[in-house]
Amino acid sequence: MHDSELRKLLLDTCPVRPGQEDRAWAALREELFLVKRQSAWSWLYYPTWRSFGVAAVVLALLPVVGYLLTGQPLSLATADSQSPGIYATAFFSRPAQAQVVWLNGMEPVSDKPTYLDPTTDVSSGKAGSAPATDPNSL
Amino acid sequence: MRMTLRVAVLILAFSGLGIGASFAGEKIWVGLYLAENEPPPPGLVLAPEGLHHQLREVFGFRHYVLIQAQEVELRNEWEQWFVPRTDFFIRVVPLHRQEDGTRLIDYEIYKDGFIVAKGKYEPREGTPLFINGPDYHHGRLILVLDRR
Repeated sequence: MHDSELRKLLLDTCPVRPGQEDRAWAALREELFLVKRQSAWSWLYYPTWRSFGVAAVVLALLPVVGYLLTGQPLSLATADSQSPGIYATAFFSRPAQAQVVWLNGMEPVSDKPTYLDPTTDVSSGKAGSAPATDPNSL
Repeated sequence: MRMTLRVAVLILAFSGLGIGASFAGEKIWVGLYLAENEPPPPGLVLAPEGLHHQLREVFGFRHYVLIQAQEVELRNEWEQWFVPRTDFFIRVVPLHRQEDGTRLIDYEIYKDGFIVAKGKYEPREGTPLFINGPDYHHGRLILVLDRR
Protein backbone atom coordinates (compact mmCIF):
# COMPACT_ATOMS: atom_id res chain seq x y z
CA MET A 1 0.00 0.00 0.00
CA HIS A 2 1.33 3.40 -0.98
CA ASP A 3 1.40 6.37 1.28
CA SER A 4 -1.18 8.17 -0.80
CA GLU A 5 -3.57 5.25 -0.46
CA LEU A 6 -3.00 5.05 3.24
CA ARG A 7 -3.61 8.78 3.60
CA LYS A 8 -6.84 8.52 1.61
CA LEU A 9 -7.99 5.61 3.74
CA LEU A 10 -7.22 7.51 6.95
CA LEU A 11 -9.02 10.59 5.73
CA ASP A 12 -12.03 8.49 4.86
CA THR A 13 -12.19 6.68 8.17
CA CYS A 14 -10.89 9.41 10.52
CA PRO A 15 -11.46 12.75 8.89
CA VAL A 16 -9.33 15.61 10.23
CA ARG A 17 -11.53 18.40 11.34
CA PRO A 18 -10.69 21.89 10.18
CA GLY A 19 -7.88 23.47 12.23
CA GLN A 20 -7.08 20.27 14.16
CA GLU A 21 -3.68 19.88 12.58
CA ASP A 22 -2.77 23.47 13.32
CA ARG A 23 -3.84 23.13 16.92
CA ALA A 24 -1.77 19.97 17.30
CA TRP A 25 1.30 21.63 15.85
CA ALA A 26 0.84 24.64 18.08
CA ALA A 27 0.56 22.46 21.17
CA LEU A 28 3.66 20.50 20.20
CA ARG A 29 5.61 23.69 19.51
CA GLU A 30 4.61 25.08 22.86
CA GLU A 31 5.84 21.94 24.61
CA LEU A 32 9.09 21.85 22.70
CA PHE A 33 10.26 25.42 22.42
CA LEU A 34 8.32 27.71 24.66
CA VAL A 35 9.24 28.27 28.31
CA LYS A 36 7.11 26.25 30.64
CA ARG A 37 5.40 27.79 33.58
CA GLN A 38 8.01 27.79 36.38
CA SER A 39 7.38 26.78 39.95
CA ALA A 40 8.25 29.02 42.86
CA TRP A 41 11.35 26.89 43.67
CA SER A 42 12.64 26.45 40.14
CA TRP A 43 15.37 29.03 40.76
CA LEU A 44 17.05 26.49 43.05
CA TYR A 45 17.96 24.34 40.04
CA TYR A 46 19.79 27.05 38.16
CA PRO A 47 23.23 28.40 39.04
CA THR A 48 22.33 31.93 40.07
CA TRP A 49 23.79 34.13 42.77
CA ARG A 50 20.62 33.64 44.74
CA SER A 51 20.93 29.87 44.73
CA PHE A 52 24.64 30.13 45.59
CA GLY A 53 23.79 32.35 48.55
CA VAL A 54 21.15 29.98 49.83
CA ALA A 55 23.54 27.04 49.42
CA ALA A 56 26.23 28.87 51.39
CA VAL A 57 23.84 29.68 54.21
CA VAL A 58 22.63 26.09 54.35
CA LEU A 59 26.19 24.77 54.42
CA ALA A 60 27.10 27.16 57.20
CA LEU A 61 24.09 26.15 59.25
CA LEU A 62 24.54 22.40 58.81
CA PRO A 63 27.11 21.93 61.62
CA VAL A 64 25.08 24.07 63.99
CA VAL A 65 21.89 22.18 63.25
CA GLY A 66 23.70 18.87 63.56
CA TYR A 67 25.14 19.87 66.90
CA LEU A 68 21.74 21.00 68.15
CA LEU A 69 19.98 17.89 66.88
CA THR A 70 22.45 15.38 68.16
CA GLY A 71 22.95 17.27 71.42
CA GLN A 72 25.89 15.12 72.32
CA PRO A 73 27.84 16.91 75.03
CA LEU A 74 31.57 16.64 75.02
CA SER A 75 32.84 14.14 77.50
CA LEU A 76 36.39 15.04 78.30
CA ALA A 77 36.61 13.86 81.86
CA THR A 78 35.58 11.04 84.11
CA ALA A 79 35.35 11.03 87.88
CA ASP A 80 35.10 8.15 90.32
CA SER A 81 34.64 8.54 94.00
CA GLN A 82 37.29 6.90 96.11
CA SER A 83 35.97 7.69 99.54
CA PRO A 84 32.74 6.68 101.29
CA GLY A 85 30.24 9.50 101.54
CA ILE A 86 31.78 11.44 98.70
CA TYR A 87 30.11 11.45 95.33
CA ALA A 88 31.87 12.46 92.15
CA THR A 89 30.08 13.46 88.99
CA ALA A 90 31.60 14.62 85.73
CA PHE A 91 29.60 16.59 83.20
CA PHE A 92 30.03 19.10 80.45
CA SER A 93 28.61 22.55 81.02
CA ARG A 94 27.50 23.82 77.64
CA PRO A 95 26.86 27.43 78.69
CA ALA A 96 30.29 27.64 80.29
CA GLN A 97 31.96 25.47 77.66
CA ALA A 98 33.83 23.70 80.41
CA GLN A 99 34.12 20.24 81.81
CA VAL A 100 33.09 20.04 85.44
CA VAL A 101 33.85 17.49 88.12
CA TRP A 102 31.46 17.96 90.99
CA LEU A 103 32.39 16.47 94.34
CA ASN A 104 29.67 16.22 96.94
CA GLY A 105 29.95 15.29 100.57
CA MET A 106 33.33 16.79 101.42
CA GLU A 107 33.84 18.42 104.77
CA PRO A 108 34.74 22.10 104.56
CA VAL A 109 38.37 23.01 104.92
CA SER A 110 39.45 25.42 107.59
CA ASP A 111 42.50 27.28 108.79
CA LYS A 112 43.23 24.71 111.47
CA PRO A 113 46.46 22.78 111.03
CA THR A 114 46.03 19.33 109.54
CA TYR A 115 47.99 16.24 110.46
CA LEU A 116 50.10 16.87 107.37
CA ASP A 117 51.49 20.03 108.92
CA PRO A 118 54.72 19.75 110.88
CA THR A 119 54.02 18.91 114.50
CA THR A 120 56.13 21.88 115.57
CA ASP A 121 53.56 24.15 114.00
CA VAL A 122 50.79 22.52 116.01
CA SER A 123 52.65 22.68 119.31
CA SER A 124 53.93 26.18 118.80
CA GLY A 125 50.50 27.52 118.03
CA LYS A 126 49.13 29.59 120.84
CA ALA A 127 45.75 28.46 122.03
CA GLY A 128 42.97 30.86 121.26
CA SER A 129 44.96 33.02 118.92
CA ALA A 130 43.79 33.03 115.33
CA PRO A 131 46.53 32.86 112.75
CA ALA A 132 47.10 35.94 110.66
CA THR A 133 47.05 33.95 107.46
CA ASP A 134 45.75 30.59 106.40
CA PRO A 135 48.33 28.09 107.67
CA ASN A 136 47.25 25.46 105.17
CA SER A 137 48.15 27.54 102.19
CA LEU A 138 51.60 26.75 100.92
CA MET B 1 65.52 30.96 40.58
CA ARG B 2 63.77 33.72 42.41
CA MET B 3 60.53 31.74 42.37
CA THR B 4 62.32 28.68 43.78
CA LEU B 5 63.71 30.82 46.56
CA ARG B 6 60.25 32.12 47.39
CA VAL B 7 58.81 28.61 47.50
CA ALA B 8 61.65 27.48 49.74
CA VAL B 9 61.04 30.39 52.11
CA LEU B 10 57.33 29.56 52.23
CA ILE B 11 58.04 25.90 52.95
CA LEU B 12 60.41 26.83 55.74
CA ALA B 13 57.91 29.27 57.21
CA PHE B 14 55.09 26.75 57.23
CA SER B 15 57.41 24.07 58.63
CA GLY B 16 58.24 26.43 61.45
CA LEU B 17 54.57 26.98 62.10
CA GLY B 18 54.00 23.25 62.18
CA ILE B 19 56.84 22.66 64.60
CA GLY B 20 55.54 25.48 66.77
CA ALA B 21 52.06 24.01 66.73
CA SER B 22 53.36 20.60 67.70
CA PHE B 23 55.12 22.03 70.73
CA ALA B 24 52.22 24.28 71.66
CA GLY B 25 49.70 23.00 74.15
CA GLU B 26 52.10 20.62 75.79
CA LYS B 27 51.36 22.11 79.17
CA ILE B 28 48.36 22.36 81.36
CA TRP B 29 47.87 25.16 83.76
CA VAL B 30 46.59 24.11 87.17
CA GLY B 31 45.25 26.71 89.53
CA LEU B 32 43.36 26.84 92.79
CA TYR B 33 40.75 29.56 93.07
CA LEU B 34 38.77 30.69 96.06
CA ALA B 35 35.24 31.53 95.00
CA GLU B 36 33.33 33.92 97.21
CA ASN B 37 30.63 36.52 97.02
CA GLU B 38 32.25 39.11 99.25
CA PRO B 39 34.54 41.45 97.36
CA PRO B 40 38.17 40.46 97.93
CA PRO B 41 40.69 42.94 99.32
CA PRO B 42 42.71 44.80 96.71
CA GLY B 43 45.97 43.38 95.49
CA LEU B 44 44.81 39.82 95.00
CA VAL B 45 44.96 38.10 91.63
CA LEU B 46 41.51 37.55 90.18
CA ALA B 47 40.47 35.20 87.41
CA PRO B 48 40.74 36.69 83.91
CA GLU B 49 37.50 37.88 82.41
CA GLY B 50 36.79 34.88 80.19
CA LEU B 51 37.54 32.37 82.90
CA HIS B 52 35.56 34.45 85.39
CA HIS B 53 32.43 34.16 83.22
CA GLN B 54 32.92 30.44 82.77
CA LEU B 55 33.38 29.91 86.50
CA ARG B 56 30.42 32.08 87.36
CA GLU B 57 28.25 30.20 84.88
CA VAL B 58 28.98 26.96 86.72
CA PHE B 59 29.42 27.96 90.36
CA GLY B 60 27.57 31.24 90.62
CA PHE B 61 29.99 33.07 92.91
CA ARG B 62 30.78 36.69 92.23
CA HIS B 63 34.55 36.72 92.78
CA TYR B 64 37.31 34.21 92.04
CA VAL B 65 40.64 34.80 93.73
CA LEU B 66 43.67 32.88 92.54
CA ILE B 67 45.43 31.23 95.47
CA GLN B 68 48.19 29.42 93.64
CA ALA B 69 48.98 28.16 90.14
CA GLN B 70 51.43 25.85 88.48
CA GLU B 71 52.16 24.54 85.01
CA VAL B 72 52.41 20.83 84.33
CA GLU B 73 54.45 19.56 81.40
CA LEU B 74 52.44 16.95 79.55
CA ARG B 75 55.54 15.47 78.00
CA ASN B 76 56.78 14.51 81.44
CA GLU B 77 54.81 11.32 81.70
CA TRP B 78 55.23 10.84 85.38
CA GLU B 79 53.28 11.95 88.41
CA GLN B 80 53.26 15.63 89.23
CA TRP B 81 51.72 17.22 92.27
CA PHE B 82 49.99 20.52 92.72
CA VAL B 83 49.78 21.21 96.41
CA PRO B 84 48.42 24.70 97.07
CA ARG B 85 47.15 23.61 100.49
CA THR B 86 48.11 20.76 102.73
CA ASP B 87 44.48 19.69 103.05
CA PHE B 88 43.43 19.89 99.40
CA PHE B 89 45.67 19.02 96.50
CA ILE B 90 45.80 17.10 93.24
CA ARG B 91 48.10 14.59 91.62
CA VAL B 92 48.27 14.46 87.82
CA VAL B 93 49.95 11.91 85.59
CA PRO B 94 50.12 12.73 81.87
CA LEU B 95 49.55 9.53 79.92
CA HIS B 96 51.25 8.58 76.70
CA ARG B 97 49.81 10.19 73.59
CA GLN B 98 47.19 8.01 71.95
CA GLU B 99 47.16 6.92 68.31
CA ASP B 100 44.65 9.62 67.37
CA GLY B 101 46.95 12.28 68.80
CA THR B 102 44.96 13.01 71.92
CA ARG B 103 46.55 12.87 75.32
CA LEU B 104 44.79 11.98 78.55
CA ILE B 105 45.87 12.76 82.04
CA ASP B 106 45.09 10.76 85.12
CA TYR B 107 44.16 12.86 88.10
CA GLU B 108 43.59 12.15 91.75
CA ILE B 109 42.11 14.60 94.21
CA TYR B 110 43.22 14.50 97.81
CA LYS B 111 41.44 15.94 100.79
CA ASP B 112 43.07 15.84 104.22
CA GLY B 113 45.65 13.48 102.86
CA PHE B 114 43.21 10.92 101.54
CA ILE B 115 42.21 10.35 97.97
CA VAL B 116 38.59 11.32 97.46
CA ALA B 117 38.19 11.02 93.71
CA LYS B 118 40.09 10.11 90.63
CA GLY B 119 39.47 10.15 86.91
CA LYS B 120 40.79 10.96 83.50
CA TYR B 121 40.76 14.23 81.61
CA GLU B 122 41.51 15.09 78.01
CA PRO B 123 42.91 18.62 77.97
CA ARG B 124 41.55 20.64 75.09
CA GLU B 125 42.22 24.24 74.30
CA GLY B 126 39.29 26.41 75.32
CA THR B 127 37.65 23.70 77.40
CA PRO B 128 38.98 23.86 80.95
CA LEU B 129 38.21 21.41 83.69
CA PHE B 130 36.66 22.78 86.87
CA ILE B 131 36.80 20.64 89.99
CA ASN B 132 34.37 21.64 92.66
CA GLY B 133 36.32 21.51 95.91
CA PRO B 134 35.34 21.83 99.54
CA ASP B 135 33.77 24.90 101.10
CA TYR B 136 36.10 27.34 102.81
CA HIS B 137 34.67 30.01 105.10
CA HIS B 138 31.90 31.59 103.06
CA GLY B 139 33.36 30.50 99.75
CA ARG B 140 34.57 27.43 97.98
CA LEU B 141 37.84 26.11 96.63
CA ILE B 142 37.87 25.33 92.93
CA LEU B 143 40.61 23.61 90.98
CA VAL B 144 41.01 24.69 87.37
CA LEU B 145 42.94 22.71 84.78
CA ASP B 146 43.41 24.42 81.44
CA ARG B 147 45.48 23.51 78.42
CA ARG B 148 48.12 26.04 77.48
